[in-house]
Amino acid sequence: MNYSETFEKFNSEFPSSIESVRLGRQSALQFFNENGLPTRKNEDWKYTGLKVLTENNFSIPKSGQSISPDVLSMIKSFLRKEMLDVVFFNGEYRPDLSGETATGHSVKSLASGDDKIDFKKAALVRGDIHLQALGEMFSQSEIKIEISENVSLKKPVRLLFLNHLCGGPSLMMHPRVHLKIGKASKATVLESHQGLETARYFVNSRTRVSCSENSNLNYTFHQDQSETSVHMAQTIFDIEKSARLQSLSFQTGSLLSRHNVDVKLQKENSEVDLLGLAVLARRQHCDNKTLIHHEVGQCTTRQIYKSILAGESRYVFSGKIKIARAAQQASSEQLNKNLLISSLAEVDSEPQLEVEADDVKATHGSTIGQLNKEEIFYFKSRGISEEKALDLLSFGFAADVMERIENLELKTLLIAALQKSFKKLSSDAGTKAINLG
Amino acid sequence: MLEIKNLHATVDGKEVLKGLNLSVKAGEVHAIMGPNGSGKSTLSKVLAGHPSYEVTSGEVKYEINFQMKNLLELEPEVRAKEGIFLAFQYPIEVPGVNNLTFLRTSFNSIVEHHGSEPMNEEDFKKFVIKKMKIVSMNEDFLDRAVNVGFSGGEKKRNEILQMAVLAPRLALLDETDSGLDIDALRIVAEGVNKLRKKDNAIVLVTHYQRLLEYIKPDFVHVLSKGKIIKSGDSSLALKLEKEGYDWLN
Repeated sequence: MNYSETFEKFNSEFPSSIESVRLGRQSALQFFNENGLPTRKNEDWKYTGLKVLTENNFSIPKSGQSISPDVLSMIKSFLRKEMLDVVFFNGEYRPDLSGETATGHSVKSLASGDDKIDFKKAALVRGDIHLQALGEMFSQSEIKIEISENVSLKKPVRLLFLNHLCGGPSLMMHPRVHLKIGKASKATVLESHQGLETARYFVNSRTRVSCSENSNLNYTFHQDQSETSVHMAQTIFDIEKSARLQSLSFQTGSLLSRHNVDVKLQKENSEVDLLGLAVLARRQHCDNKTLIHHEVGQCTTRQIYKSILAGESRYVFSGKIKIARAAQQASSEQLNKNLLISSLAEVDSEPQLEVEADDVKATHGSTIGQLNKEEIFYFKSRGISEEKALDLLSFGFAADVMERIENLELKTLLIAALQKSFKKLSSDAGTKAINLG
Repeated sequence: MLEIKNLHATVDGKEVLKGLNLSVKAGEVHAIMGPNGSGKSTLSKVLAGHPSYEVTSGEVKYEINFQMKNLLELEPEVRAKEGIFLAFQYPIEVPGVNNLTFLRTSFNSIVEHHGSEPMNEEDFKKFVIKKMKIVSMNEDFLDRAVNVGFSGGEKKRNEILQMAVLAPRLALLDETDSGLDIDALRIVAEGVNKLRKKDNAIVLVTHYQRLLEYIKPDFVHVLSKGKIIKSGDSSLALKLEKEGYDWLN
């Protein structure tokens, strides 16, 4: 499809009355017209091609779409009293479907976000610039979720993005969220993207997260989209002094997905853990990109990204750690561990270190393990079926990541999603596994 | 309980068993001895259904529900459910899966196959802890990943613990004595002796007579070049210890 043409139509149909939005759209369009979508020649996209985005047509969803009773009941089945649900349907914030907010927690829809991206200064744009531009062109609002200062939210906030084409054409959605955690506040946030049917659509989501001084955020991104969809996601964190962040990128859905996590440590004494877990089968392709930027010293970051791969799936991990000259006594660890349960699955793991300071601790490593037939035979010789063996082994591999989720409701929800995702592993292992005999 | 007739088997295209015959009845303990490369381990792997071993001719009948059935057409997990247990010469390490979960999954698959209710974690733990005494194992081993970081002796004891929990009708112990010091050997052997009953059978595959000082077999067989060339009672093991295998050829 031609995104520029689609934009022209969209822009004339829904012109913005806000000057900054008009200028933002134009600047993004200009960048997009000059650069288009990234190709594999681009170093950041070496292992992930976006042909599917140009070969298919995606329409822009209608605002305030009415929802049929059966889709509505599907949506309602997701809602939980134990969570502060902020519901989005086909990328659009739906206060009518969302739950209540808690004290010290607000949700607002802003016609214009407060970050102005200058696409002429490409080097300063964080995340994936091409997708940022596409988002800027088509986005109509940014949802601002704010946790005020000195608040400790008991319930997790859940940004629940539900997608269903309702019998219409393929859609593209560009939802944007700005999450702000106030000073000395503590919160658990789940950004959950769920496909309600098997359908082809394209989600290009971006979440900016501001972690204020002394705040403590436990953030999970869970993508369980339709297995024929494309999801390009970005989460951009700004970390202030003495803030604590744990982020988990948990990906089980989509045919083609990418989650770009960009973290900037701009004040001392912060501590960041980035976790990742992808469970893929068939021809799924998932790309996890991380960039941790230590701008100042005395910050600690740790990363563990894991994948479990069946079928002909493919996983890409590319993690960059930048430690600026001023960031003395920074400490950064990175580990990528992969479990292949099929000989046709593939992993590309690429750690990158750019260290300018001299008094730092930085480590990285990558491992690829395969289930071998001796292991499977051991289970079978104990009366355990191959399917059950795969379940136990996969769960064993992934469990330590899930154990890190503190909130019990959330942990239970994610473990159930993990176990559900294992079903596709065994159904795919039978035919295409490493010679299991 | 087990009838093996003229069994031929290959691994990687090479014939290792070349017409083996063996008959095992309930309540019996058989020791299979022989020099390296004679096919001892192959026999136990073939009986347990290891996918790398191919049976090219012969038959193996095993008693299931009072009928002699063709064992070779059963999947390895079905053989296990029907009471065949292989104690591995080199027990496999399974990172991430704890011993208790592994044992309980195994135990429940087997009892469910026989139409019984699976056991919950609490009850099962109590049940296992009792069984651990048989092999002098500490409860801490239940929370550890299966065989990961276990010493050679601990791995072998863990195998015998599994055997105690699963109560097989036919246990195949593949070189269970190898790599054990004398104390570990004694513990493992005592464990096996406690599990010896009139309705189950044990086939010990061993290179040395040492284990047989602790577990007294009813029959001793000498395996050479893929065939049993001599059978006798436990005195045969002593003779082999003194005179080696050469006199048989």
